[in-house]
Amino acid sequence: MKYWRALPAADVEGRRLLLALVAALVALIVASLAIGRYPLSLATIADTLLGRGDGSQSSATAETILLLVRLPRVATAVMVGAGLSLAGAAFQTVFRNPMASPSLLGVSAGAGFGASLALLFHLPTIAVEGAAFIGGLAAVVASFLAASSVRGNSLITLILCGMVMSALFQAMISLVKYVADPVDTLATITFWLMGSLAKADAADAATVAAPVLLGGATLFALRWRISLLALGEHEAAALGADVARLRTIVILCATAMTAATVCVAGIVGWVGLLVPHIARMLFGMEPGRAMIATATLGALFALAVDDVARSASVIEIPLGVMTAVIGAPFFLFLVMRTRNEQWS
Amino acid sequence: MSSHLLRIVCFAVVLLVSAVAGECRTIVDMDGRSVTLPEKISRIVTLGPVPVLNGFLFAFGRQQSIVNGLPSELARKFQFVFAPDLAKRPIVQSSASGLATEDIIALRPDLVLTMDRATTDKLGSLGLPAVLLKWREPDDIKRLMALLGDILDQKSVAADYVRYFDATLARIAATLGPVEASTRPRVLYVNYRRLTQPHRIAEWWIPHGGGRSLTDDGRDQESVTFSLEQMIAWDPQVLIVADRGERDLAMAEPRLRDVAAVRDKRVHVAPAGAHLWANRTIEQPLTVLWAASILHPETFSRAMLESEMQSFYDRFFHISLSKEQLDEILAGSPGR
Amino acid sequence: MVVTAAIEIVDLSFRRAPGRERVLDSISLSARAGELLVLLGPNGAGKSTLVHCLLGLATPEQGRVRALGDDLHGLGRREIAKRIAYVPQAGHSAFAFTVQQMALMGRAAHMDGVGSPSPQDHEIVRRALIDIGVDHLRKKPFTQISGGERQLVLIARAVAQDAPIIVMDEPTSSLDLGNQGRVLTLMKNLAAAGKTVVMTTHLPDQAFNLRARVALLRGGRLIAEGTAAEVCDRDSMSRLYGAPMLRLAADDARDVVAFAPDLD
Repeated sequence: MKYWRALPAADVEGRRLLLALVAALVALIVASLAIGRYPLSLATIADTLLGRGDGSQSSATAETILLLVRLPRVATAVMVGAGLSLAGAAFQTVFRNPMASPSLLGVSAGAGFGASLALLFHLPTIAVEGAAFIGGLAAVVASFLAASSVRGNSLITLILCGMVMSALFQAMISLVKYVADPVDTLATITFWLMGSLAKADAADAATVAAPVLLGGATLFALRWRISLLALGEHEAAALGADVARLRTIVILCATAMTAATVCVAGIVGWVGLLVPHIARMLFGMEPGRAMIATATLGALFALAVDDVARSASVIEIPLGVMTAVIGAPFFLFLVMRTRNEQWS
Repeated sequence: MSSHLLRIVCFAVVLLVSAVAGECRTIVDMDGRSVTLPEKISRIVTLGPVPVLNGFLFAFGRQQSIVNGLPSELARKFQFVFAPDLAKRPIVQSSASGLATEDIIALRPDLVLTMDRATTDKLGSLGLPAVLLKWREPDDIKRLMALLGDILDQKSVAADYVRYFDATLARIAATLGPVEASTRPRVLYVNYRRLTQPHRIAEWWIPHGGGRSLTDDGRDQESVTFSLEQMIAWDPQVLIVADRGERDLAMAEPRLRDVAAVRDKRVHVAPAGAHLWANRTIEQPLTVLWAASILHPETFSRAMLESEMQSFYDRFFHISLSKEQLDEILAGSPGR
Repeated sequence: MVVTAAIEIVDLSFRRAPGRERVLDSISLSARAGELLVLLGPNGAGKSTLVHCLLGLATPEQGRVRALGDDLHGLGRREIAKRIAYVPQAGHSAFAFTVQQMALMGRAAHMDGVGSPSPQDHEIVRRALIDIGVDHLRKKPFTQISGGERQLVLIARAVAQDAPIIVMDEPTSSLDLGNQGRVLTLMKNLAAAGKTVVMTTHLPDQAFNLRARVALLRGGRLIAEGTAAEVCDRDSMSRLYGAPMLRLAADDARDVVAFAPDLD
């Protein structure tokens, strides 16, 4: 008997829904290349993408718009969305806490602080990114240690400790700003922390893509083992997981992914909290499917929001502001819907 | 409740002190607030956009009356050229810590100039003679100068400035002649690092200089932010940026290489005198002339601009600038 | 013939931190294949700590635990999991794994680090769910089934783990009598199939019912060991629980004896 072949209808439906989601992301990526403030006809877009430019001024501009402006921005938005969502899901699993997310654990604020400090000392870009990573790591480790030393630690304890760390690192960012030279460094730090995809270029896309793809691939490869962590330290260990090592890998990957998104888009909240929830609601807990769904939904969400941000009007709205405006009420809706049930 | 009481007490104290001094008067500021001021104003504190406010006072030749220094984030080199003593004055505000209220009181000002209501109310409630100046619409500068002329008892200077303002604009308009909408170059004034057009006033001086501002959509907000793609889509023929660093960035940006302004090397740095000319400043008539000179260089020569600058600073700031200094103002802020 | 112990505890002592009192004090115990061992003792006797040491989750101060002849100290987590399966008390889960996914986790020890369950793993799990009688629940979220069902699913997971030794930490503590019976029957069947089953409990009657060997733990010490009938009488139970006990026995109870606190 091959029991596993007798997959129930829901399983097949889930697979179809996942395929539809991936197809929707591909479609949105293509559509995103076609929309924007600069009017380009579909024919021009096709010609440019296929390298059939006629060498004229307008075809050169079309090439600039498509390949140097829209493509990096679309890639950056996709990576920011996927990275934050995967990081959120990873933190939720490793801390067994459906309310954990990069911003609620203080990772985003810690990364912001690390980066501000590096900017204060005029360090090169790569050092700024490294400092963001170290700052984020310090914040999440501190949140975790603080929560573990609280007696009777519950789901909410970790979140409270994370919020304390977040507030602490926000205060330390303020401190850095206070001592920063107001003429140049202060403005740089402020602008950097605000984050904007308005000028995202190939370098930005690469900055965020490398950690997100590497971290995502690592988490995906270990997805089955990592899902054991959701059962708690002792159970996971008894089932054969090397808990300390797995935890370290997951936290390192998720923090690197978060820090990378902070480096290009500033502190973007809500994505890392909401998207894993929705993915679990739609696709359940099967590790592979849940991860693909989380990454795809995150990318779809961030890309859609950024498309609106850049093309709805002349005025450009930062991604973090848009996600908060959409995310906060939606989260409240989720909480109200699930108040009597277990967290999804 | 208690702050209200405090306010009344302070007000009473001020009245009493003024009564003892024997010489006081009440003026109405630009937000309709009545403020009691001493007859003679010799100590002035400027708060908020310090360089902008200082610029107004320079035009009255009152450099010596300013008793506070320049916050370093707002400092511009030419403030110290026009009023060398500013470097020795205490700084009473910063972007990080706000107003140093006690230091302001210790300066015993006869007049405190501000440009926002919250600060004015706060200082007014402490008994300080805080006067609110407003410059929202382009013409507000004339009312503003008239009020300051009243307060400083220098009505003739104010009248002179208003005359100069109208005459200069009329002269530029006459020289420019009627410019067809189609022949006006597309102009974008941008803070390039942030992709923001920071001040609505540019929607006034760009058309008066003979251009068409790309951000002019009848907007009400003071500043607008846009995307790089929007900037390429606008395809400005002339780009005006905030400092020389921004010009270098824009000229080196591969994604802007097809934009007309970059291709034709018409990326200009806004001059920086008492304040950045592109923003609100007492030097606004010069801004219009400068804009005309870069948009229509065939009609407005650089020499014409320089001689106008020389005469403006001489007539109002009482300072004679060298050719090097004029060049430096026109070169704009170095940036970083 | 020398019968080697499946699991062997030798002179085991444990402290939570240096300088603090011993939670376990020089305990030696062993169990053979096919044997049921019940650890009986009051709250705080050290039963849970002993279970953690048995699973290699806590490092003893001295002494060793051997599973199938090898010291746990020298084995990796996966090696230990292949030898010893753990059935925790069914608690709440923050995440809604389905019953099937929960049981599949039992196969983790048999997958490599980057692996996912093979068709064979699915088959083993399905068989375990059927054997334990919870196959009809496999699509349900673990969070939405009853406490008794959850406990059975965790046992199915341990069965799927396919380890010769199964350690259960108070598997019946939150179950009604019907479910207790179901779990105890399963344990008997597992032992009959050759597994070594170690469980902790508060209830001496379960040891009688299982015809198990009993180890009495108090204050971290092993105070008696033997069959239930040998070690569980009124005096020893009163001493163990530090309160006077009544011994409840009936002619038709088939040698199952229970104890209840004497309130007079």
